[in-house]
Amino acid sequence: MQNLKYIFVGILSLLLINSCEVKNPTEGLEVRIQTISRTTGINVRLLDGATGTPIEQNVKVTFTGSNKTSVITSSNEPIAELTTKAGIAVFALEDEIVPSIANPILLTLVVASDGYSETARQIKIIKDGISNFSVSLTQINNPPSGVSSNSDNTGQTSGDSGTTNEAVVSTSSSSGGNDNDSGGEAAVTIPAGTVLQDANGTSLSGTVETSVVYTNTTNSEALSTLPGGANVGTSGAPVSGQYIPAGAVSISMNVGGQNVSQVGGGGINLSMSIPEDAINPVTSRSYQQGDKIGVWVFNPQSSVWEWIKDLIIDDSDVFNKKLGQYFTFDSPIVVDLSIISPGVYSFGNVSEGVSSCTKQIQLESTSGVSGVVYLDVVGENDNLAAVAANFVVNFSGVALKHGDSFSIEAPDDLPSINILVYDKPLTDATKQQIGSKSIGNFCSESETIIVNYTPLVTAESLPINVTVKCESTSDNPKVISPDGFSLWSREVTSAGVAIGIWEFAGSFSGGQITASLVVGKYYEFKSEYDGNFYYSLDYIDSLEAKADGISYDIVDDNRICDNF
Amino acid sequence: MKLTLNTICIVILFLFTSNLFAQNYAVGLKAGARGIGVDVKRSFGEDLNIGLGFSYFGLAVDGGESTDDYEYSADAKLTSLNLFADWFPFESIFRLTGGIVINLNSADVTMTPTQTYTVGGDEYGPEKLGILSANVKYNPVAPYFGIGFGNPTQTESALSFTLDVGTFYQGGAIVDLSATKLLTPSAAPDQEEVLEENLSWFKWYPVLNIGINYRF
Repeated sequence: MQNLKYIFVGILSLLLINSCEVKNPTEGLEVRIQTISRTTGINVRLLDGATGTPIEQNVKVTFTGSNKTSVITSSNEPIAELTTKAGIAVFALEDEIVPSIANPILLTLVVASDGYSETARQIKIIKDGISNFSVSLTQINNPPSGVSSNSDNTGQTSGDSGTTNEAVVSTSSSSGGNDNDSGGEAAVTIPAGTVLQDANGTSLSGTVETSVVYTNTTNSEALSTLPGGANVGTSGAPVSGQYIPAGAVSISMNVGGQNVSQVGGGGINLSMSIPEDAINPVTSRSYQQGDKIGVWVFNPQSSVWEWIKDLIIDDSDVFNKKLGQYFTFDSPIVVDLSIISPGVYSFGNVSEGVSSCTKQIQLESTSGVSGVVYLDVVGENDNLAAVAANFVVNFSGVALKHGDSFSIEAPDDLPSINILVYDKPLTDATKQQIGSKSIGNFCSESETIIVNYTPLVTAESLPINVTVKCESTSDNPKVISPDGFSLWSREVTSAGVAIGIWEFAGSFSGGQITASLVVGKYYEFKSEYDGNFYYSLDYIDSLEAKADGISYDIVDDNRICDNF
Repeated sequence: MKLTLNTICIVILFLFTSNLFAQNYAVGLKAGARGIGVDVKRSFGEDLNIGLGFSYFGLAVDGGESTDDYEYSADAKLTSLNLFADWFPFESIFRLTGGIVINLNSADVTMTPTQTYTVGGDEYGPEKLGILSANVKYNPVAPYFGIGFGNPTQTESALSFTLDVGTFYQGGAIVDLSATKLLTPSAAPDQEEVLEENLSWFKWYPVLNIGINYRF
């Protein structure tokens, strides 16, 4: 009997011991939410035109054109503009919009940053998913090849009385301008008494800062910084046509930091040079005295070049003739700076009704995956005719990796071209060519044109896992599994010092993405969401690429966790 | 698992058909922590019984408040087979029981988010988020030991009662998570480990049964 008691107590004790640590089954179970990814995402690299590197200071991007109201952030908030200093603008289109080749979405971006000439670029989105574009800006103090520029204090202006003195700003190096082999120059003369107004028509007072940028449009590198696209308007109605520039001038003014949008009084005078090798498509020879030439202004609201007037080229001796053909306007041309905002004149002729085609260019590595490579297009003899220039102006310097594709529109009579693939940015003197594709008749090619290349360093496609962990007042931690976030990687030292440049990996799907990395090297990452960039080095040290990939967490960042 | 079942079946067949021992049989109905079931026992002498049994019970439980992150509804099915040996060491109704339980107990739990979360311009309400489901089960073969009172094969009266107190070791929970819609990341393997850890206190399954038996 005694034995019986001992056994019974022993069994009960065992049962009790095991039932002491009863837990809520869902305690600590994370609420992991996959974010809603956008149907159509757009990444726009914002580059310095001279160096090809991202502009990593505040850059403001304003959306204009008929589709501007369709622009949203990656988290579905409508935006009219954004400011970024990550060197890239990331945004999306409303989810119900699904672009296609048959139904493209045109959007114009007006891009401005301190020390750079404001520019505008029309982008054409023809597919859902992620589309990548580049916009190059001219730095006033360091213009790209084919560009001369100058910025100067041009005195004072006082409300409705206007400017107190006449002022001239010239891009020539003898006048203090910065000339990078432009072969030309432009000058702006502001007569005394010129009233400077903002967009609301309010007359401004204060110190005037005037910037002038001259672009030799026969130079492809310079052409990449020229705003606009190929659409021209005649009689106020936009018409697709082939616009052949013969030089371009960008003028911007501000009074005490406020942008000047309108000019009252007689307006300001402009003179500029026409490049010696600019061909007049009407006469098929270089422009000469007596030729008629149109004056066009790019309107970022309508995204078309608008015709202002025709001029007859005279032989003014205002400038030294050895720099090429020169002319001045026979009357002040600028009476309303709102027309020229962001302040670009261009001179050229238009052939209407030009037939064109659109092809997909797809990049394929011959040996495994690779990091980002850079593309350029040149004419067969390294001298692409001006007739094709505007169609390829957005193509040069684009960065892609194995499997990426993008579209290019070109006229039917595009001359033979070579698409070249480099391992480094086009402005890097140590770049090596690693692939090429020769295209004799662009529009006769198949819908998808494959461009092969052989990377110098073979990377591996490694999985990257990122989650956003947010504080929670309940027993269930909150975790966001990013879907649709964009990710970039950059090689760094083990101490986190940058070695490489930011390369776009793609966008997350359920918290996962693959990136082309080299095992054993160290990387940092940045991801974009809702207009904010999240840098991995803010949360964790540099990450070594291993065969099974990389994982890290974005922890308790109020920018994303605030309402979650 | 298959080998063990085959072995058990062979042993059962041998034991129940063998004429090596004096034999009485008893069949009983039982109710307890394993559910409601039946037992069949055969005696091997006066101090040893071998028995085969089956138990079942279904249970549905709802929980969670609207202020919690999840509301849940659980559907538990208690299903088990047993092969036990009863040893009577003191020539009395007290016995020690040991054996094997084929533990097919399982629970299906559905967890539904109750809150709406906002990230940027997107709202994530319960309808968009989806459902998180869990299937919980245990090791299918579990050793049992316990004590009991009553020997249904040796009573003078054909009808008798029995009482069993014991436990079987089912080990840690095996959790399989699945999720729909935007909750899909919540069903990751490491989340299964969290649930398994939260259920780790329940490795020993307590048994308390009472039964009524008929000897023949």
